[in-house]
Parts: sequence; C-alpha cells; structure tokens
Amino acid sequence: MLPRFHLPITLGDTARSVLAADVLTGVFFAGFPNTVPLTECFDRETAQGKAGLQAGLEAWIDGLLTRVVVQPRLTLELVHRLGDARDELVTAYLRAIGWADEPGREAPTADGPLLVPARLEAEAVMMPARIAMALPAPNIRHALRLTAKRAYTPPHVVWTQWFISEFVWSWRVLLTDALLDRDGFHPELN
Amino acid sequence: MAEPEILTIEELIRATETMVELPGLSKELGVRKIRVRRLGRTEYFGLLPPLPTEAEDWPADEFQARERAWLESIGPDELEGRRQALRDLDFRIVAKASLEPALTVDQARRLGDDAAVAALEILVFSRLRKPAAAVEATPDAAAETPGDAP
Repeated sequence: MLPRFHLPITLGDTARSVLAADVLTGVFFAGFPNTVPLTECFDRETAQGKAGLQAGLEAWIDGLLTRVVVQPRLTLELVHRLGDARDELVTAYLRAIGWADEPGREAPTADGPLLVPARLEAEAVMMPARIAMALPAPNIRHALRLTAKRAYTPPHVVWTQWFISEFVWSWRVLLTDALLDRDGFHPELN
Repeated sequence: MAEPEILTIEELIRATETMVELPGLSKELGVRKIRVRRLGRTEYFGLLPPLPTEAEDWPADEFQARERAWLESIGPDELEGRRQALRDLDFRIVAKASLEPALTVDQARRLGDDAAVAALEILVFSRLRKPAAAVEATPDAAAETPGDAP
C-alpha cells in the first residue's frame, strides 16, 4: 500500500495539489467499462457500443476522483467543476499507482503531510458493500482470475484486500512478460 | 521539493463560479445576473445527441460535410429526436449550471433568448467553447470546438 501522495492541479494560473490515496482494487475498478479506447476489444465494438463505453469511461474517471482524492473530499459536482484539471489529476493518479508510465516524468511524491496511521488504515480498508459484492465487467473479471491464479489466491481476495498499486505491480510481474511474449505460451492466458 | 498548497473547497468553488448577465431581463428590470458554475466535459457531452464514434476521426476540414452526410443517412425519428435535444440544449445547460437562482429546465425556458446568451457564456467559462472573437479569428476553430460538433 502506498502512503498518501500529492497530485498536482492547476486552477487558472494557480498551482495547487490534492492529497490522494491508494485504494482497494475493487474501489478502483468500480464502474470500469468492459474495455477502453486504443484496445483491440474496443475496435471490435459497434459505433453505439463504442459511444457507450466512452461515456462509461468518462463517468468512471469522474467517480474515481471522488473515491481516491482524500483532501479535499470531492463530490461529483466538484469534479465536474475541475474542467481540464480533472484530466491532469487522473493522469497523475494513474502514474502514481503504476498504471501509466510517462517517460521523463517522476511519479507524484509522498512527502506531504500524511494523516496519522490509525485513521489512514481505517479509511483505506473500508469498502462499501455495493462495491465488494458487485461483479466487475467481464474483462476485469478475466484479469482478476489470471492474477489470482498466478498468485495462488482467490479472486475475491485480490478484489477486496489488494490495493490497486499492488494489483498493478503484481500484474506486471506475474503476467505482462508472458502476455507480451507470444512464444512463451501460457495455457491460462488463453 | 515542497509540494504546492493543498487545494481547499473554497478555492475550488471561487475559481469555478461566475456571474452571467441576462441582457433581455436587464433591459426591463435593470441589471439582472445569475450565478453559475463551470460545467464538466462529461456533463456537457451527456446533454448532446451523440455523433457516431467514427466522428472522432473526421478531419476538421471535412467535419461539417461528413456530419451532413451522416445526418442524411439516419431515419426521420432519430433525426427528430436529435432536433428536439438540440432545441432544448441551451435550457438544459442553464439548468445544470445555474446556482443562484437554481433553475429547472422549465424555468430556464422562461428566459427566452437570454437562455442562449447565458448558455454560451457558461460554455466559454467552462472552456467548452472558444469566445466568439476567437472563433471569428480562426475560421477552422469552429470545427475543432466540441461545442460546435452537433
């Protein structure tokens, strides 16, 4: 689990930051569409399907920021007010948890005023029942199955107990090389 | 390196609200304004009738011709639905963004032409449309601006 970290945000000409948290895998993926642009699955969709997925992705980004930004707490309306800064925040967040690389740029740092550990842990491990019990989209379920299988753990443990930074890191270590290596055939990756 | 100060809700609210004058009402009653907030891209695009996804790849200089061809290819019911959504667009933008007074779509309709003025100002403030002067200066800009897409 990552300590809380700052994400940069620019409002007008003013540079500010918000404090963000590593969250549980299920909290991160809640509402994530089945596929996203720039993937083969997305290209196979109909025009209507693509429009729906794109709208779903935008809505997921809005919702994600309400879940991961801990200071100040953002409502959906406040996220809408961010304008372009919304994209700035979500990009920085995905970089911080290891989801997205941006060569030449450092991931956001964690040298800010962190909250006391007791409060941090209590908040971090809370997962609303609607998220814990909801089944994610088929492609996310597939990713959970693959990761859990490789980690010799049940998928629900990955969903409800792993932090998203741990999921991304484990995915990379356990699966990315195999997925990229077409000759290195792994039956469970089919 | 020290991080920038943490954003406060008050700062965020201050930076994302503005007053918009209603010229029609102002003529009759003296200066009248409404307080509005910035709209998000998701909110705005949610109000627009959807274009086909391939529209993202239409080059700016061909956008209008491609859009016209696409509109000619859809059925009359769908076309009428799109027209209705566009007729309501200004009122729905004002209803979504207005804070004081907070207006419903039906109340926004009562603003008449003022609703169009207010909606345009809200979109410019939200950086979803370029100001009119900037659009005139760059003829191609209209095709590149999301607000002009439908």
